[in-house]
Amino acid sequence: MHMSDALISPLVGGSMIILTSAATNYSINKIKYEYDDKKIPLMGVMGAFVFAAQMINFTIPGTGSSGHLGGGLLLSIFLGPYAGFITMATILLIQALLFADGGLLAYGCNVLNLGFYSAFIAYPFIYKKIISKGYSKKNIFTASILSAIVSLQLGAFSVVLQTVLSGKTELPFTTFLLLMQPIHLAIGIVEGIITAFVVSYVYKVQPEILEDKEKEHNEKLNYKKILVSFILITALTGGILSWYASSYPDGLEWSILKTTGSEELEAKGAFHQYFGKLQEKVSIMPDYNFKNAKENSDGKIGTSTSGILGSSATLGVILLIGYAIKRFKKTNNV
Amino acid sequence: MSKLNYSLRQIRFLDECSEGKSLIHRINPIVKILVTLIYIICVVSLEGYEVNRLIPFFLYPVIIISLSDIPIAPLLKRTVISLPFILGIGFLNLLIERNLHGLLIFLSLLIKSILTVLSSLLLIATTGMDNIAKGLLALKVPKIFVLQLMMTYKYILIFTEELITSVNAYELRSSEGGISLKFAGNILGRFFLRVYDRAKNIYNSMILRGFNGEFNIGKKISFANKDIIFLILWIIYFVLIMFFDVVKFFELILGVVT
Amino acid sequence: MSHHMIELKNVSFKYPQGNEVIKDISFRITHGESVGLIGANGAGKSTLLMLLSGLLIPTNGDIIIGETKLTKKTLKYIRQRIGYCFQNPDDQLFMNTVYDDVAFGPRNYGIDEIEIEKRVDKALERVGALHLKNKFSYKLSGGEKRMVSIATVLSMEPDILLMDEPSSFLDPGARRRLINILNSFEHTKIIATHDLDLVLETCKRTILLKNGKIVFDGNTKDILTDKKLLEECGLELPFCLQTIDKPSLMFSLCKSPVNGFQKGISHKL
Repeated sequence: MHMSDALISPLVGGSMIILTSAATNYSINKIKYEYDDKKIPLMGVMGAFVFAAQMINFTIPGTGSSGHLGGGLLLSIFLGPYAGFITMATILLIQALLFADGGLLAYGCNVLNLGFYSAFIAYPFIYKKIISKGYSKKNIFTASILSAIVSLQLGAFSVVLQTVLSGKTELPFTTFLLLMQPIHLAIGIVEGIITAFVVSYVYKVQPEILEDKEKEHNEKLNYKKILVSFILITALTGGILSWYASSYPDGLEWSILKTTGSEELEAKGAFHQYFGKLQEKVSIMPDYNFKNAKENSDGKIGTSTSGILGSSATLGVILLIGYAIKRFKKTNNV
Repeated sequence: MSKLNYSLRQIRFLDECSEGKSLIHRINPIVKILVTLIYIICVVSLEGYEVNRLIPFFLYPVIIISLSDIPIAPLLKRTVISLPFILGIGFLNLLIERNLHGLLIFLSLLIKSILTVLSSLLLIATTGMDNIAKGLLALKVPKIFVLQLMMTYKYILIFTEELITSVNAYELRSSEGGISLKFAGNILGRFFLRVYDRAKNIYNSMILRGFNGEFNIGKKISFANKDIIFLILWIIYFVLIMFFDVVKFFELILGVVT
Repeated sequence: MSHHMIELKNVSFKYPQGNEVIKDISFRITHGESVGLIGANGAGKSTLLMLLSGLLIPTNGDIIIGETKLTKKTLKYIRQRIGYCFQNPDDQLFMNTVYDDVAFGPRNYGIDEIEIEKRVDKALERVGALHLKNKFSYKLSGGEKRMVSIATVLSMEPDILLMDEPSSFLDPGARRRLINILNSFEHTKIIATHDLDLVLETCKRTILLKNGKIVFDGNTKDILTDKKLLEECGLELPFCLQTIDKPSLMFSLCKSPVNGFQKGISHKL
């Protein structure tokens, strides 16, 4: 599930971008100094492979539903976590640009939700642990399904957290969580099964691809370092967030108050809140403020129609400008 | 299957758009990336209930579309396709908050989605992946990442076409519609092995042409006066509408007139 | 000019866990020669090309390019002298635009962009593809891709061209243009292919491989008319020689390769 721009605040989006760029930079350095440059074209084509593979919907027998590959885990399995993570990050950027799947500001959120957990949590701590007991059909399936479930659960949890922290909706944390986690359980199982099928196919036909990978990654990874820096960065982000919350009470804290079901806001009524805010913001035009306050007392209908009227007028002018440009271009042949 | 075809069409459409020669196309990609980011940040920084404040932001996509001659219908179609998730969230929110505030949030999510999606699509449609890559390099995004981006983008088209052939071949022989999960290994696994071999050849052809792990991009992007003006004008406009309520202003005028 | 020369001395090659694919091969190709490399699948054509370009290192024997022995140290220099065209042009066109693909090689050697642009123009002009300069490479036809992929190695200004199945993915018209372009090159060329008609028209000399060994090395005319030897090696007579009873007689018609061949075609039709 891609996080989209509309749901997040600049602060949440920005800190996620900083966090994931740090992870990307770290991974790039790892590849540069520890692996050979053979990986570069392999990453490029693997990215394209996953991008294309994601678009095939597989029907799930007996359910009438279907699912597709996400690919984060698969990339880590075949490329190792660092290269896998970078490749996932490029896929997500291309999706954000070409299909507006997840926005540009939400890009960091998506890299975290869909790329980070599978590469740096699920792959090293679950997949590799199970597979180290040896490649067998059973191990491949258990490892893939468990890892996929864990990374998707973490991803879904992040979506909820990012949405709630951004405070652009009034969705209570628990409701949203209870909705997201079960859906992603199903998605995770399908992801795990597809991954397992692909891995076991490759293992059957060309086992050396996977066995080489094993040797390659074994001594070169330092997951502890990654985990520690991840926790540090999270703590730092958390610190910035709480600082922000305390200095701008009506930004973040407002939303947290809201989601924890604060009485105060209920009593005040969202409607009043809306106008309170608006009045503050249009104080450039004190005249109008006065008029507005009067209208306010007339009740819902009057005010909402006036909002619609102004909005339509603005939109109309904008469209007129667009039309005028087109006309001008046509008549002047530019 | 249909999704594969759709994606091919979408990528080709955007590439064709980016070959345009309009004023917007000729603006420096770094400037366009920056303006798009600032625009998105401004749009999403508005709170959920500030629907009115979002309206003036429509000026940006309208002006870019009309100046760049990008066909509008495919853009709108893509925008609509991207909406369901956000509408779902908005609707869920509306269920919990059944009042005007909930409705405003629903509306603002909708408008924000439209605006952010349109602006990202316009960025790629008027710039092209190649120039975006060059812009990213200039913005100090690591070279390896940018090379990845370009190679992935390049092979997406080739692989999607190949995958369409595989899926067609499968569907021609299968009785039921769709591909069963059971065959994921066969279809994707085989495809993976082909891709894996491919990577070896590509690597060979890269090192034979002197590739040594470093990636060199050619021409530097130059700034012209028009780029600076473009950047400054939009920043001024965005700042203006962030602090000045245009919708109220129009209402005031309307109020005076009537 | 001596660096246009290729010499192999008792070269053998064996994959780590496999059997020997190239067995004690020696030959010498001099400046400006155009040599066809033929043989059935698995005869060792591609392996030989990879050895020549240093993608594989021989297990035994020496490869000398110009006056330089091919070793890990001289690899960088030698690769500048050699242009290798892959069978599938998509493997060679990994950037998005034709320009970036053709410029990729020179850029890696730190040449400045003004000079690079000149080289790109020259290379594209050489293969008649200058008009494609700013196109997206995925939009090209099979023939255009082939020409551009040749340009990507020409821009490195090599002395020697190695071609792996250059006529694959081509329609007859594009194939004809390719033949004309190949014949216009002054480079030393080795063309590995199953397309024996192409060999007939572009190479005076032919090397026939079977199971990693040279079975024949000599005049193209002599080998391509030897029905028995060709069939023993899993090949058959070139199409233009198949329809008549006495191939050697027919061959005299195509003495001047390019023009004569067209007569051969019209005769067949």
